[in-house]
Amino acid sequence: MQSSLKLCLGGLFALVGHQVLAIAQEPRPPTVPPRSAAAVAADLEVASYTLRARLDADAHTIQGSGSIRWTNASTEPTTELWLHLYLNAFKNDQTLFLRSPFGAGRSGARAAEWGYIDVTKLSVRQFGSQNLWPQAEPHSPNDPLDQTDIRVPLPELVSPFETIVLDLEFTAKLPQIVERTGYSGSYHFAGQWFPKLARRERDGTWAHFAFHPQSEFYSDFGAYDVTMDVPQAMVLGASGARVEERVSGGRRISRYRISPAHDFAWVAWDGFRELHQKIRGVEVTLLHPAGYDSSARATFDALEIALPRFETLYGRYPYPSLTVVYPPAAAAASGGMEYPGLITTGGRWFYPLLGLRAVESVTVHELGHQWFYGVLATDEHSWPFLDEGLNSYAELDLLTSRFGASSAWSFGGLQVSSRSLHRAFAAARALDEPVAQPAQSFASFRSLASLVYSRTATALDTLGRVYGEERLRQALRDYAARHRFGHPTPQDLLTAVREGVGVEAARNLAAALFDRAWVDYLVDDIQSVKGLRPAGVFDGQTGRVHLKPPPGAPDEQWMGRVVVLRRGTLELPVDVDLIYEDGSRQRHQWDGHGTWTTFDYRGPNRLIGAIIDPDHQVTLDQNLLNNAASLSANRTGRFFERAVYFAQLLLSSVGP
Amino acid sequence: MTPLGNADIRAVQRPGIIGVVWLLRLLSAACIAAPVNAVIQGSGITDFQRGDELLFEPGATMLIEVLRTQWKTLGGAARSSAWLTLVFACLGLVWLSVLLVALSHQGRGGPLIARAVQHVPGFTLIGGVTLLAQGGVLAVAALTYAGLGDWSARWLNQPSVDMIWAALGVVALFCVLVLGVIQDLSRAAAVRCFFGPGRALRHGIRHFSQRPGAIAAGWSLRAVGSLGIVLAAAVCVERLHVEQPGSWRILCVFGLHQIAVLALVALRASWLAYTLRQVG
Repeated sequence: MQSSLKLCLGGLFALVGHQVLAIAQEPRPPTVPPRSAAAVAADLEVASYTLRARLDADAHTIQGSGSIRWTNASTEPTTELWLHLYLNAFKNDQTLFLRSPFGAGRSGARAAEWGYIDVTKLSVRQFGSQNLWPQAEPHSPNDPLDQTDIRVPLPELVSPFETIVLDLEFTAKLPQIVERTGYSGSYHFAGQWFPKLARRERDGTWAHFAFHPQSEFYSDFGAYDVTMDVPQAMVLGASGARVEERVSGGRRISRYRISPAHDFAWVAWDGFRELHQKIRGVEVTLLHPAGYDSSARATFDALEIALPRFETLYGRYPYPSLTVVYPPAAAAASGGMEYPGLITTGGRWFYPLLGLRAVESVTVHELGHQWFYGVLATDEHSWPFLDEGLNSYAELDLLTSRFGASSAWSFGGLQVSSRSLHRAFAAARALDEPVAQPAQSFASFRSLASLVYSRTATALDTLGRVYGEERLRQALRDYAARHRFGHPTPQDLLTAVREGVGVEAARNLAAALFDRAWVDYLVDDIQSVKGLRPAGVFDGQTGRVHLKPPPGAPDEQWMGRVVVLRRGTLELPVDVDLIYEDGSRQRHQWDGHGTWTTFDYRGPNRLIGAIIDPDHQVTLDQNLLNNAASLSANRTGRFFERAVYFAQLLLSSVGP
Repeated sequence: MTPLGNADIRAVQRPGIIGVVWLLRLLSAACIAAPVNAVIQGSGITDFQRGDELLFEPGATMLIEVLRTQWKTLGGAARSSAWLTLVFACLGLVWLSVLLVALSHQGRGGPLIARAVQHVPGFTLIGGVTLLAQGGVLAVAALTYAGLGDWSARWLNQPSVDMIWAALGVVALFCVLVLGVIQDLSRAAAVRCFFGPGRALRHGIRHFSQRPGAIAAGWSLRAVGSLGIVLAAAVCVERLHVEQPGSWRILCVFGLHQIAVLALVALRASWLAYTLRQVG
C-alpha cells in the first residue's frame, strides 16, 4: 500500500513538475492579476480561534477550551472536517513521527516522556450541542497507529462560504521536549498544542496529512485570541500582542491576540530574563536565560539589521509585536522554530567568542520565516522548499551583504561564508532527489536539509549572480507582494521569476527544483603553440607558389585553444578567463548553450591557463576543482608550509 | 663523557644540538604533512593559476570544495599523518635524550648518541607511567563532571555549568602539566644521577614536592614565553596576507614560523637545563 502510494505521489509530482516546467518555458506568460481586496479579506478570516489554556506546570498539561470560527472558503460543500492533532505525534513510539528507530526527524531525539492531546468535546453551534467527537475517526487515514490527522463527520452540510462555529474542549499533555514542543523542568513551550483545522483548498480538497518527522505545517489564516493561565512566577511569551494581564490566586492570566495568523504558540518559564526593544515600530520582546547577555545583544543586533531589510524586500512585518524566545540549553530542541509573531532561536553562549555567527544566522533565518511561511503561507508539507528554501536564500542574501566572506564563521584568520557552506551542501546531494517534492518523500532529513534549504538557496543565489541580483530581488519582492497573506504555489514563484528575471532563468530554476538538473563546467583541454609560417602549395593570382619555411621555424605569434565543456542539463551563461604568460587575462563569456565551446587565441603572449567562472557566479556548479587548466602545475607551497608548521607545533605538544 | 657542573648547564652553550633538534622536528613535520599535502595538491587546485593560495581566500569556497570532494581520500591521508605523528613522537624520545645528555655532559658525536640511546628505555618507562597518571587524572575529571552534570544542570544556568566544566578542565590540565613537569625532572635525574626509571621517578617527585613554587615558576616562565612566541608569529603572519599573490610572502611566513619553532626548541632546552640543574 505504501509503495503504491509512493508511486501515485511520484506520478502526481512528476506531472505537476512538468506543468511547472511548461509554465516556465512559456515565452509570453499571462499576467497574474493581484488578488482582489475582497478575496484577501476573505482569506484572512477563514479559521479564527478563541481559546483559553490553563497550564498545570507540575503535570505538564494544558486544559484547553474555546471555539473555532470556520468558513468553508472553497467552492464545494462539505460534510466533514479534518483536524490536526499534532501533539499526538509524541503519544507513543509507534506514531508516524516516532516509529522510525533511526531518528528520522530534525533532531533525531526520542521522547523521554510522552505527549498527546485528548479532545473531549467538539460541537458545532449551528448544528446543536451534540458532541461530534465520538463519531470522529479514531486514527489517521490508513494508519491505525497514528492519531495526528483525524476526520470528523458533520451531521449537516456546510455550504461554500458558509461559516460555522465549533466549540471544543481538550487536554494537552506536553512531552518532554522532542522537537519544538514540550517541557524541560519548569520550561514549557506550547507549540502545536491545540486541535487545528486542516486547510480546505479552493477546489474543496482538504490539505490534511499525518504529522511526519520531516514535515511541517499548513493552515488557513484567521484571528487568534488566546488567554493563558500559568503560575504567577512564570514569564510568559506568545504569538501576538498582550492585550490584558492580571494576577489572581497565584496565577498569571494573560490574553494575547494576533491577526491575521495561521498558528499560535506560547512559552512559560520562571527562568526567563525579559528584554524589550522597539525596532522599526515593532515591539520586540526577547526572552532569554540568565548568562546569555552577549547572545541577547547579538540577537537584537541581527534583528536591527534583518527587520528593516526584510521589510524593504518582502513587505511590512505584519504585526505590532514580535516575541523572540532563546530557550535554555536543556530545551535547545525547542529552538530554531517559527510561528506567527514568535520565533525561537538558540545557540551556546560562547559561540560569539568562537567567531561563529550561529546566533545571528538562526535569528535572521527564523525572522525571515515571518514572510516565507507567515505572510506567504505556503504548504510546508507538500512544498517545503517554498518556505525553507526561499527563506534560506533570504538569510544567505542578508548575511552575505552584512558580513561578506565571514558570514558563517571568522576565527584565527579563517573566514567561512554561508554561501560556501550552502554551495557545498547543495552539491553533495544534487543528483539524488528533486528539491520540489513533499517533505516525507525525501530519503532522509539530511537529504531534505541539503536540497530544500541549501540547494534552493544556491539555485536562487546563482540566478541572482548570473542574471542580476536586483532583478531577482525585485522578482521575489513582487512574489511577496502579490501573494501577501495568501497560499502561493511553486507555479506562482516561477511566474514571478519569469516575469522579473526572464524565461531562461525561470526554466533553469524549474529544472533545478523539479528535475534534479545540475551543471558542471570544466576545462577539457588547453593548448598553446608557437604559430608556424604557412607552408605547402598555394595557388594564387600569380600562379602556384611552394612555400618551404625551415622545418619547425617559429612564427612570432602564439596560438592557443581552450576547450570548455558543460555537463548536466542547466544552461547558464558563464565567464571564462584566458591567462597569458605576461600575467594578463582576457575575459570571455559563454552563453552555456550546447555542451562544449572553444576559445581560440592568436597573439604575442603564450596562453598558459584558463579558468571558468573565476568569480564563482554559478554557485550551482557541481565541481569547482575542474574549472581550471594550466600548462604547468602551480605549486605555491602555501598549504604545505602551514601543514608543516602545525605538525611542528603538534610535535611540540604531544612529543616528549 | 664528563658530567658538567651545575653552572655550566646552559642551553645557550649547546646551540648546535638545539639546531639539530629543530631540523629533525622540521623533517618530521614535513613527513607528517606530506600525505595530506599530496591529496590537496592532487585535488586539481594546482590547475588554478593561483594554486593553493585559493585555499586561504576569504569565504573558504575552494577550501570547502577541496574538503568536500576529497573527504574520503583526506581521511586516509590524515590517518597516515596520525600514525606518522605517533612514530615521530616516539622517536622524539631519542632527540630528547640526546638533548638532555648534551646539556649535562661534555662531548659530542658518537659517544653522545650512544649515551643518549642508553637512556631511551628508561625514558619510555617514565613516559608510560606519566601517561597512565595523566589518563587517570582525565578520567577522574570526566567522572566528576558526569557526577556534577545533573546537579549543576538543575541548579545552575548553562553558562555557569559550562564554567564548571571549564574550571574542571583547567584543574585537570594543571594536574596533567604538573605530572609532565615531574616527568621532566625524573628524566633529568635519570641522566644526571644515572638513576633507573623507578628511582628517577621518586627523585623527580621529591624534588618537585620540595620546591614546587620555584619549579613551577621556572616552567611557567618558559611556557608563557612559548605561548607568546606562537601568538606573535600568528600576528605577524596575519599581516603578511598569505592569501594574496607573491612567493616572497610564503618565504617570509616560512621564515617566521621556523624562527618561532626554533625559539620553542630553545625554550624547551632551557627548561631541560633547568631541570638538570635542579636534580644535580
